[in-house]
Amino acid sequence: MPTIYVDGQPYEVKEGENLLQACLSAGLDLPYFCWHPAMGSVGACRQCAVIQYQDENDERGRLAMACMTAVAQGARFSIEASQAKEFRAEVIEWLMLNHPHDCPVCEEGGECHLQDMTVMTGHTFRRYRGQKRTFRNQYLGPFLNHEMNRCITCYRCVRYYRDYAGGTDLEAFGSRDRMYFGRADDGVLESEFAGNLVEVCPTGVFTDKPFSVTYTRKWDLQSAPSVCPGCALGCNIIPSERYGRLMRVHNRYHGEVNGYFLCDRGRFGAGFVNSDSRFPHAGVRTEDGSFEAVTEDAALERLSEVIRGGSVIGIGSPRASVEANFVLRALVGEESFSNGIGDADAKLVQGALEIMRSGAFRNPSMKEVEAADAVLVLGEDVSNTAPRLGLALRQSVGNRSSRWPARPVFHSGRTRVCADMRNTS
Amino acid sequence: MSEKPLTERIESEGGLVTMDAYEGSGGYDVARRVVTSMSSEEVQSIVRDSNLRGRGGAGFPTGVKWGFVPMGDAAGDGHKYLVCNGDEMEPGAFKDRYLIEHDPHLLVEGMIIGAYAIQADRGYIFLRGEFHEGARLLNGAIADAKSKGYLGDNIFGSGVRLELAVHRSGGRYICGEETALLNALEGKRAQPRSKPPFPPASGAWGRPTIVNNVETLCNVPSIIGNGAQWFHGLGRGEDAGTKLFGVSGRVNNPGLWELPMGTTIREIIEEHAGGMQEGYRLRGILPGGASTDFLVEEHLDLPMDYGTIEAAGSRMGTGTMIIMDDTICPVDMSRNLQHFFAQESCGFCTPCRDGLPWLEQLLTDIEEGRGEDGDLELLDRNCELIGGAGKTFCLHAYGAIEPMASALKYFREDFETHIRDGRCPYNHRG
Repeated sequence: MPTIYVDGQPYEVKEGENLLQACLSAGLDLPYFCWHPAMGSVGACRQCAVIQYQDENDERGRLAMACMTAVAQGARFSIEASQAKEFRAEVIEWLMLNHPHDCPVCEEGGECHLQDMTVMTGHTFRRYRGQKRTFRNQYLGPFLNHEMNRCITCYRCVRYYRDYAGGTDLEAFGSRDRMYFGRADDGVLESEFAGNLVEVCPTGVFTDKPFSVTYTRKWDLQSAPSVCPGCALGCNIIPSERYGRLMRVHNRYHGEVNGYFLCDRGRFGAGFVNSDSRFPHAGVRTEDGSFEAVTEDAALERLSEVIRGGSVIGIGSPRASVEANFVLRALVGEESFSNGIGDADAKLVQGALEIMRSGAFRNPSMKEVEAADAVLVLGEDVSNTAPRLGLALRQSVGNRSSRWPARPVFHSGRTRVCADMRNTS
Repeated sequence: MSEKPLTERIESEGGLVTMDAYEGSGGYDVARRVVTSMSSEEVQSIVRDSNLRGRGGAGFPTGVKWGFVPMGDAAGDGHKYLVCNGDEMEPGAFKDRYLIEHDPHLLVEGMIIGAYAIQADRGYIFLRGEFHEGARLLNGAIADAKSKGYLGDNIFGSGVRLELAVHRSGGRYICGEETALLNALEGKRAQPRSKPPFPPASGAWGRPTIVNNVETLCNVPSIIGNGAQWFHGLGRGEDAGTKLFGVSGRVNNPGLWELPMGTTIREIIEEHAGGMQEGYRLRGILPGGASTDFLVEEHLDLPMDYGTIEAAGSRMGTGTMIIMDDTICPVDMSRNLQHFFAQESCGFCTPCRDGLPWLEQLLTDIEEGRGEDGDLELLDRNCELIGGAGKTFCLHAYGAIEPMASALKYFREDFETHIRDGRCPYNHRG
């Protein structure tokens, strides 16, 4: 592990990291916008400027962008040098020239990267006296708001949407301080991973539409770490609650599973838990057939009476959580419980389980899928059964050797093939 | 041997030099000799020895640039590209257009030799979108050359292959930056690329590519034909060869002349451009187009050499100078220049994208009488933070700041007067 010196202090850093990553990992405060761990460095925002010194005798140094600078043994940098600090403060001032002062009504409030970085650089006084640039926003579908006036042009959205997720209908238009990130025409964003723009955008251009209609801010939320129930992949999420209702789902980083991104079904598909047709309380059916809410204890007691009668079985479901199945089985007793899987299916599942346990079959993590040279998907419509895997597969396409064709071929229907084998030469 | 290798045919023919006229005066002889009897290394070596420096503005030695291209098997499979930068969008510059519209075969021959020198089998002329006439003439010249077997699968019967095509730009100043040009050529947004890798290692479609200016390539046939020593002898000072120098502004005879490198600014302005018009006094010179620092009267006797002009605090750039006379308001001219540079920012990096429009807005305020105390310090500070190496992604803003910072240095009183009096003292209808 190379040692670098930042403002005279030695830090052990990871080989191959850029200086910005190294500084952030070391807990140093260095503001940035365009760099993203999943999308790498492009050097657009110029926010992570530091002073780089040739050697210990170099006192002058030169301005360098940390995200574009590789760490090397003995390399010397300064974050605190006034030349770098003043440049970073000026970058924020430039970015804020056109950024509206709508923070009190902005959905990003309380979790705005731009706000944090502005405070970090110490830019507090406005010297610009011109008019602010304004844009017409677009309708991007039921899930995402578009508020282009807030854009600070970090290019993260198009880099995520196009380069990472393979979408084609979000583009960078225009030039100078009138860069516009949107679609050619109003319309629903086509990518089934578009929801990640909410978290990719460092400010409030792309925000969560279903969330914003609740007038809720981050500080109103009770959140807890959880796992997405949408499919079997187990993406790590942070569901957040207010007033007894689920308000939104955010990504929770897991290096082996979902990384920084979720599918739109996981992010926007959990609203059913707030459905009015769900039973909010335990209850019993009265003589006249109506539903009467009772306490949980009373309900349990009534249930055990029925079960003790001996004529009750419990049928679980592979779609319910392990916990729910377990509780039902505990209630009715193992001999009266079925997990809801038919004998034929159960045999297959058991077979698959045995093969996996025997070591004959490796069950790769999503991170390993992303790193694979080639992936063959058989008889599966991944984007329906395990959507987040589709995004992982797309990353694997970038690893193709020269024998593989440039683009994945996705056939409509049940089978989607990651790479078109016909062109193999 | 000619003392005006770039324009001699034009001056003797007048108008357009046709294929017949070009060949009649020895045109394509050098290319034929190169392709049929010289090695690529020999060609590169003569150009390197000639000390030909890039005429697009940066002045990088052409032979050295060519030397960065991997040759033979080291280049791997696939095409190599020679791209001619004919985007010529520098305000004040009209030299490449002159060559293209009068002697297109000279450029085609230069490209055949240049492509042979780096073993490129594909050539593109990236042409400014508005050059309708230039595109027509170049396409005609390419068709003529192809029909004679000077381009195509088997040029001059040698078995060497070279396809040449004109690509007309969509029209952005940034396309003059060679990596933005390559992105545009590939059909992408014209944004500069991160360097390294430089184009000779990874250029168009990731393959080795050389990007040379029109005037640079037009120098190549005569250098190979007459030798490096002859080329050195053309220059008067430290740099070799001739240069197309231009003058625009209130001079008696604005125009373009092929003159030896090292000709003094005074000689160009007074002898060739006929001096200042009556009633107008020279106040400032942008020696190499809009993106170079102002020089003033005290610099008139400097020779136009890359090193000399740089030592004086400016750049030779394209060699087509813009004269600011005493009726032009330096604040208004700066505002006009910053309007151009702000408009032409590609929008990629923050200092250029947001900093330049702010400069324009401040200058507009000062010019229109709304300047405030502290504005000049704000301009100074922005010049310092936007200009200079490493601050922006490419050199666009660097060039934009050069006339701005030097105007603040040489014409500061004008800026101060504007702010103090709350009005512009110049008569703009002048």
